[in-house]
Amino acid sequence: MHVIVCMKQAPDPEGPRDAFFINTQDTRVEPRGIPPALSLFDENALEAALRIKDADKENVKITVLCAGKKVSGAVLLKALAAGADSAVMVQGQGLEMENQDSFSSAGLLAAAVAKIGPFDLILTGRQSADSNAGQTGILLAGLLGVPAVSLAQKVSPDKEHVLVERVIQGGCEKLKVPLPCLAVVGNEAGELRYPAMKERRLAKNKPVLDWSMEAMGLDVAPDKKVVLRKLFAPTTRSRQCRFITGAMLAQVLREDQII
Amino acid sequence: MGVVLALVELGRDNKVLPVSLEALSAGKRIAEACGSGLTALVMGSGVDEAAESLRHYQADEILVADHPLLEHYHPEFFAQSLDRICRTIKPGFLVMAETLQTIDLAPRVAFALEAGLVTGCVDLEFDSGETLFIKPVYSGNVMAAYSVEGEPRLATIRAKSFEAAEPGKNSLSDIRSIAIQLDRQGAEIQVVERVLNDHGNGQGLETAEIVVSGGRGLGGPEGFEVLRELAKELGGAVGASRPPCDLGWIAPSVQVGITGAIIAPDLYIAVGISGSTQHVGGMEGAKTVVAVNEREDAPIFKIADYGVVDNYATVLPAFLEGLRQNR
Repeated sequence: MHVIVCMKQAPDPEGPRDAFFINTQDTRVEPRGIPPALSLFDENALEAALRIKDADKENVKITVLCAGKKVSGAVLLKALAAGADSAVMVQGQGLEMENQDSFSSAGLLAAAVAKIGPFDLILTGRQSADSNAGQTGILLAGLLGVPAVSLAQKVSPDKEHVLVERVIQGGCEKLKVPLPCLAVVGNEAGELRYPAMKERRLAKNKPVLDWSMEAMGLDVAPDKKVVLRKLFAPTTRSRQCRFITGAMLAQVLREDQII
Repeated sequence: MGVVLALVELGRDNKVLPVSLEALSAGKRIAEACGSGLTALVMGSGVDEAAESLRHYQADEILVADHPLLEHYHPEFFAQSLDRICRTIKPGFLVMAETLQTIDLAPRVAFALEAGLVTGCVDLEFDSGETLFIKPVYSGNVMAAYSVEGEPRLATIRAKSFEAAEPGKNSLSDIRSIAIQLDRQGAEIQVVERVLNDHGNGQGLETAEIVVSGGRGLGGPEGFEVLRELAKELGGAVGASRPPCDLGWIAPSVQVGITGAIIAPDLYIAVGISGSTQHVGGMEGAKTVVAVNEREDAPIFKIADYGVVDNYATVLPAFLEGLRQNR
C-alpha cells in the first residue's frame, strides 16, 4: 500500500505575533526570526499514515510530498525521521501563500501526485498554518477523481476500502470509502511521534526527490479564483486583569453582569 | 447579479442552527451592498417546520430542498444537491456558517462549481463594487482581505463574527420548494455507523456562549469531572487546551486552539491553562476571559479580564457554591 502525505511548511504559528511582519506594500508576510515548521494538521496526517504503517510495516510505504517556494531540508528530515520512507519536494518561485489559492495548490499537488505514480491513499491536514483555508485536500481529490473524506480522526485501510472515523457534531461517524481515496485529517488523529536519535540518523539516507515547477511544466503564476487584496494586523483587545479570590468569583461576575 | 444564497443548516432536531442566523445576517449585508436579493436555502428531510420558522427573517425567499437522502449530512448527497441548486438559480454569492458540516461541504461545492471560496470569514468590506472577505491567516497572527473572481462567490462565516439575524415584523418570506434528484447507488462514500457521545444535541464548542476549558494544570482526567459540573451549572460547553487532549484526559475534539476549535464565546473560563500561543490563538476573541491558575506569572493572565491565582481544586468548588447561592 502506497500512502502519500501532503505536508506544507509554514512559519511556526506558535511563534510570537510580532514575528509575522506584514509588508503591506507587497502584500506579503515576512516571518522574522521564526523557523519554518510543518503545518500542524499535516503532522497529524503523517501520524495517521504512520499508524497505518505500524499495523503492516512490510507493505505500507509512505511518501511525503512537500511543495513550497523553498522547502527546508531540516523540516523534511523531521517527517522522514518520524517514519516516512521517502520525500518529494516541489520548489519554485511564487509558491507562497500570498500568490496561490487553494485551486492552484491542489493543481500543483495533483501534478506532483501524477508524477509520483500509483497511490492507494492520500492524506492531507485539515488546513495549512499559513492560509488557513482548509480546501486543498478536497480539491485535490476532485482533480484526481477519487473520493474524499474530511475531518478524519482515524484511518484504517484494508485491501479495497478504507474505514474512516470522521468527527461530527457531538460524536463521530464511520465511513467506508473505496481505494484509492483521500482523507483530510484533523488534530483528533493524534500528535506526530517523536523520533529516536537512531531514526534521525537513518532519515538522512532516505530518498528525497527535488522537482522544480519549471521542470514539471507548471505555471508559477496561475489564474486564481481567490485573490489576496490586503493584509493587516489583527486588533487585539487590551485587557486589564482584575485579580480576585475563588470565593468572590461568582459574585463579581454577577455584579459585572457577565453571568 | 444573482441573488445572495445563504445556506441554513439544521441541527439534529431539524431546527435552524443559531450560527446559521449569523450567516444569514452576513448574507443580508452582502445583498444590501450589492443591491441584490437574499434567498435562504434549507436542505434536509422533513424540513417544512424549519423553513416556516425562517419566514419572519430578512430573506426575500426561502428555498426548500427536501429529500429522504438528505436526512443526515452525507458529503456526496449534500454537495450534489447544492451544486445543482446553484446551477439552477445561479446565485452571485453562496454563504454558509462555518461548521463541521460546511468544512466538508463548502470545498466540495467550490470544486463542483469551479468557484472561489473563502473559509472562516469574520468580516466583510465593500470597496467600489467589490466584496472583500476578511479572515485570519497565519493562525490568527495576520488578517487578510480576499476578493473572489467569477460567480458564485463562496464564503463560510465564522461563528460569533456577525450578529444573528433577528426576526422582523414585515411581510413573511415566500417559501418555494426545489426538486432534488438523488440516487443512493451513486454514492461512493458509505456511512457504516454513527456514534453520538452526548445524546446528539450537545452544545458545539464553536457556538456555545460559555466555554469552560481545562489545561495541564488539572493534573488528570478527574479534573475534567469538576469542569463538566461547572459547565453544566453555567449552561456552557467543556473545552481543553492541547496537553490534556494529547495526554488522553479528554476527547481531542474539544481542543481549543490553533489546531483545534477557534472560538469567540461571551465568557471563556480557562482553568489550569498557562496560555500558550497555540491556545490563545483559539480563544482570544472571547468577550470576557476568566483565568484560574496557580502560577501568577502564567501568560494567560495577560489576556484575562478576571484572574484567580490558586489551585483549581480550591477555586472551582467555591465558584460552584457561589453560583448556586442566590440564584
